[in-house]
Amino acid sequence: MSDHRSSAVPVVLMFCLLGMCVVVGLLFYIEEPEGGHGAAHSRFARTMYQGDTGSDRLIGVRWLGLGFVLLQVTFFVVSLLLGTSHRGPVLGWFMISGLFYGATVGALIIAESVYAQGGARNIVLGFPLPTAIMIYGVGGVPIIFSVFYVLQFDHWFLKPEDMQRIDELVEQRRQNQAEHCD
Amino acid sequence: MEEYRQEIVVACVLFYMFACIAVGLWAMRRTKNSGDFFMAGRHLGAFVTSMAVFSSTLSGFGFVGGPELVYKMGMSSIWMVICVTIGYALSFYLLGKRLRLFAEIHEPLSLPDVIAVRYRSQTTRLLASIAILGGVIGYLASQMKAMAVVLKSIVEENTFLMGFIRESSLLQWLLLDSSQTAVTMEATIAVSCAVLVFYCVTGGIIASVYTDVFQGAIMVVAAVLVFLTAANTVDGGFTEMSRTIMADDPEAMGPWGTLGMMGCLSWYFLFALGGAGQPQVITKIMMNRRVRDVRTILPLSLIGYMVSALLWLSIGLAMRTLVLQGRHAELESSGQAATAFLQTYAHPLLAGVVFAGLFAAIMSTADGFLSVGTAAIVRDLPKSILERPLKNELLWARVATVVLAVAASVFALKSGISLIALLGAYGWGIFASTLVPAVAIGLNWKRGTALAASSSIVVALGVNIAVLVSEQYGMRLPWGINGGAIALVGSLTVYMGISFCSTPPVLPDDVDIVMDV
Repeated sequence: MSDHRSSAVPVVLMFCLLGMCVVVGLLFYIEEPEGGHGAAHSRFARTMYQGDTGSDRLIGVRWLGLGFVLLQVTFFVVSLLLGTSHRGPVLGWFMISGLFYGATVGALIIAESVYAQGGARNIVLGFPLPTAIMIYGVGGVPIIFSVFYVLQFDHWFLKPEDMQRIDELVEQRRQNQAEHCD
Repeated sequence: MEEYRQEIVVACVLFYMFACIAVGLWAMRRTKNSGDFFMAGRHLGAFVTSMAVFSSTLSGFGFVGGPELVYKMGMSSIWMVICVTIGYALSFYLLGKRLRLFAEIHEPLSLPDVIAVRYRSQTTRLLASIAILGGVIGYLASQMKAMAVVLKSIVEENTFLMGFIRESSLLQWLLLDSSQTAVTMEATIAVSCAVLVFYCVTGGIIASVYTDVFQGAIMVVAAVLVFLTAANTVDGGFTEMSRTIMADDPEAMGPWGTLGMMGCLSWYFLFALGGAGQPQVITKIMMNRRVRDVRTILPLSLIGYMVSALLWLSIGLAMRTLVLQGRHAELESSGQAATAFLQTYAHPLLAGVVFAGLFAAIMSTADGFLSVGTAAIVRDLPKSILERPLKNELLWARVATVVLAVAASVFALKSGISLIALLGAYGWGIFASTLVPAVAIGLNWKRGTALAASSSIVVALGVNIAVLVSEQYGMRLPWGINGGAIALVGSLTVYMGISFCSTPPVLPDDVDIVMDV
């Protein structure tokens, strides 16, 4: 078995999960402002729901939210490691990519906190700055992991010798079944 | 061409329905045993599997539910879309090769088959089957409702069809409400159910995957065209849409939309990691011909999804802007965002093609759900309770398909969940929270035990049911957090916690080898 799957990876995942449990638990104790997750729109009440109009409704949970999303990012990147073979530079590439991913999420939270107080209203590529960071940054950066999958499949995921072992196992099972039928 | 808009839409949909019948009958000839019915004989190429994977993920939920949520909540639901880049990576890293290798060696016909091999526990298989049935009902209900909404829109907008219905007192009684001007939801769901049952009973999963190819191709082309149409509907394109919505409510156009930060982040977690627990998607990874094909399937699926998701974003934003600018009357319900846009602003031919694609999306996804649900009923439940499969599995599979479709129709009408997308999110949440620990983590971590897997499924089901029941009584989770996400965090914690506290299990040699790779 690949060494990382038997050692630190599951422990890190467990700590991330415990952290997320704490975040979720705290949300039940922190009082939510009225309309914190949407209220009836004054003109289109039957169909559209709105939050506040520019005031900071997240002031009590923004940094908790940052913690929540960073725990998620860590959980995702470390989970990806579970599916790889621990050979070559996998860990290094994942750490760099993970840090970049986390930094993008951090930039989003900071930009949004400015936006909520009336700033950062400039439109970038069709959307307000924080939304653009969300769509193009948080949405775009993880594509790097798919690129790794395509380019490094034979090295990090399924080596030809591993596939040969599987083929031998399949052949052996077929022979056993044939003998069993005879 | 504009004056024939409704006729063109109906013609496109009818053409598609006939194509479906043809695919169903063709697939029936190729469906000779339960292996063909559930796993398409495991002969799919990389391109067909890619199309099947991404179109199973998007479906009617994305076509109708996505614009519905953007119209209603602003940017909140875009977290369900952007998570796909990390979500697909997670699904393929954790399951791409692993599931296919299990399929290579053990020839499973369902996900609970894999679970039974991995944990050597019939209890875990039983619980996984029950969880799958719960998720199938919820998700299938969302597909039924989406199909019914579209069907209702098409019929009500067509004067010829409405006139035809009004001429027959029987059709009036069956289809129209008391005002005689609108088709009832019950009627359109019944029609949707009947069409689905015919299609699924005849063709099984083979019909589904080949319709997925058709659907996927339509979705990609139509999404680009709809995106361009939406951008041209509002002068100034997306920049002006952003400005209009921000002028009304900056929060709606901000990254959290109106739902708020914690709600959006809970969706991000649920939809990113939860993809690795969607049986209608991950079982397709077991159907491809060669193990190494997963390397091609990941990028093709991802590109297909990202292009198709343009439809989700563009229609919702355009309709919200048009209503705010007073250029379109306020919608009677947010679920009409997609149909209203297509009926009013899209070129008639494009509208017809998108409606046909929408039916394709719904039917192929529903077929996928019916297939995994049916496998749970006729294969996994008997194997875990009676410890043997049913005789004449293929016949019982077709009977179970009818029963499941009817149950989902009833749930769609009676569950009290009004939004199509939230019905879909409920199904997604059940699958994610019950199957991700046992399957996605369990197939990559040898220390996971059967007790941990069973416990995580029970906890996930318990939390999901508790949230659903409490919402029926008007209770809401704080900060808009999603119940499925809480269930997922809980079930993962339980799974890993119990496994850490247990003696590491001894795995059979063949399982050990697959997990070593």
